[in-house]
Amino acid sequence: MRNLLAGVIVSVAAVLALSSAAIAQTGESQSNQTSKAKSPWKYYPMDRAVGPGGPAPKRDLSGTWAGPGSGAAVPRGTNAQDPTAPPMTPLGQRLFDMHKPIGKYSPAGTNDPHTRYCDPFGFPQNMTDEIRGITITTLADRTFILIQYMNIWREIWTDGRALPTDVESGKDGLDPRYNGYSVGHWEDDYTFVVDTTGLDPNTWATKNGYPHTINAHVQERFHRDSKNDMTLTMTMDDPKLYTKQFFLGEQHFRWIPNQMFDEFNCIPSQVQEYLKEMGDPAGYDLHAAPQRR
Amino acid sequence: MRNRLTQVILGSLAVFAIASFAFGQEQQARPRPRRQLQPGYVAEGVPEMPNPPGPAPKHDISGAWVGPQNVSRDAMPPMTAAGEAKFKQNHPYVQGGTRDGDPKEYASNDPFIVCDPLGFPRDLLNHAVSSRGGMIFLPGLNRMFIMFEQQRVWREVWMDGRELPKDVDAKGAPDSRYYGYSVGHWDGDNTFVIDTTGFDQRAWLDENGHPKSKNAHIEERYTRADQYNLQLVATLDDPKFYTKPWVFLKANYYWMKDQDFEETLCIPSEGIEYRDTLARPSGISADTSSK
Repeated sequence: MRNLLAGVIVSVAAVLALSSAAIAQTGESQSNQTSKAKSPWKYYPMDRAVGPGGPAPKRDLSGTWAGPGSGAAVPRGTNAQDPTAPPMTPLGQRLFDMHKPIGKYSPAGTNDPHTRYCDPFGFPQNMTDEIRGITITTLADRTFILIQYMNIWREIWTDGRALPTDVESGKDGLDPRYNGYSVGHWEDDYTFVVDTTGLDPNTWATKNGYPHTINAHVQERFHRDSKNDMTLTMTMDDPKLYTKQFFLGEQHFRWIPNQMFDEFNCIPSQVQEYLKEMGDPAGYDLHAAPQRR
Repeated sequence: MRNRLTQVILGSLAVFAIASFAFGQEQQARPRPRRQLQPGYVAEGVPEMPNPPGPAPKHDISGAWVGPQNVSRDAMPPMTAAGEAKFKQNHPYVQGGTRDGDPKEYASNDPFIVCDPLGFPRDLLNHAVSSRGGMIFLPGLNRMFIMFEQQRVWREVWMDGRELPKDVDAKGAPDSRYYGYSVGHWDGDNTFVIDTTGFDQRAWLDENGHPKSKNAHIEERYTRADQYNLQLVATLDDPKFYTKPWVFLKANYYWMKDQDFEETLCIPSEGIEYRDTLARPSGISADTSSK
């Protein structure tokens, strides 16, 4: 499936009329894929790993995984798609009120920097939103997560270094990053724990507009359930904005048999063209039913 | 270093008028100390040469490399008529104006103005233009992964013996991609060869607007000369647009001592803000609608 402009509009702008076309396209490719010779270069969402596939290997997450947005019927998990936050502090509420997510404001009214411009999601949103496929691979001193959507990579240092303690003040001599600074360790043979801080303040923590500070601390827990299954749970501690820990959700991943997935990007020029010709002229209605991606 | 808009504009568009604004913005926004240049480095994170370097390990280029540096290319062969026609449609920014003349008269349609994906091989060449960047080679399951500092994008190079796709976008064939489809193998103990095809034609070959067709074939030969030096020769074979193969990049990469890249991103909202609030009002045109 050609997925660039369609992907941008369906996924980011949430135009329902177009999503039905995309679904029809997907359905066609699914029905055809069983009767044609398969290319080793294509992702076939109907080719799915069967069952658990055997016990989980120890201390090993490497490989290419289908996420909940992959079209491979991976369970959606809990909270991650539309997370609910704990009670916010006054500052958190003020920041949250400034964000206009697409679900409420439509493409014309939202100020979501990804929806309007294809700005990077940044972390942690890039691990909860548009989760189609990910590849995990390692060097001796770090683990990399290669994310299908937007073709970006994160690095997680496993050499024992400590996280920076206060990127926000500048004392560390570090700038905040879209992907933050991450360290990881194995808690047991099947659970890899990643801690991240130093997040770029221009990004949203979630697609529905919850904010984060630079010094927010996000923890990811990747659990290898079996050869074919992996579960990710995420929490965020950000006491300046939230009165309690924020549960960012649980997501499931399934092993992709041929280890391939498609290229899937948000293309800024196409989004600008879409907004100019369709999204902005349509305007928005605050009383309309919320749109869902 | 804060490096988003600055890198985009300095590195890729090379418009001097913008540079002062970008630097001013950077200094104003981020009055933070940079990491200091450390003794023994010729550049941040690069070991001084010669150290002396040790011998090259066999079948191993994994790790982070800085470059390309010492960049050169062969003379471009004549383009075909189709290549000339495509080339004329592309209006790049070049230093002091556009390739075609006064920037006030010729709108650049460089897709990277608004941060559309660089694609391969422009991501390689963009590092050469900006003199900043590098990449990480990382072996994985049946593959070599390559991760770039600029844009934090990645490619995968399959090493399981499969053949490249023959004609992308044909019925039943895979879709063309910004970063193409790649296979790799070792030629001897120290040269890693990558063959790539299947390109999305919206991405330019380079910042000058040279085109590449979807079925172009690019060969990269990375030779690890010693512990610290990796030499690249990249050749484009694209008979649709060029009359002969073209060695469009020869360069050296240095082993990065601290193995840790900055995050260098082109942020679309910043690029669009620049275009609309500075470039266009000052008379520099830009037409970034997708083609």
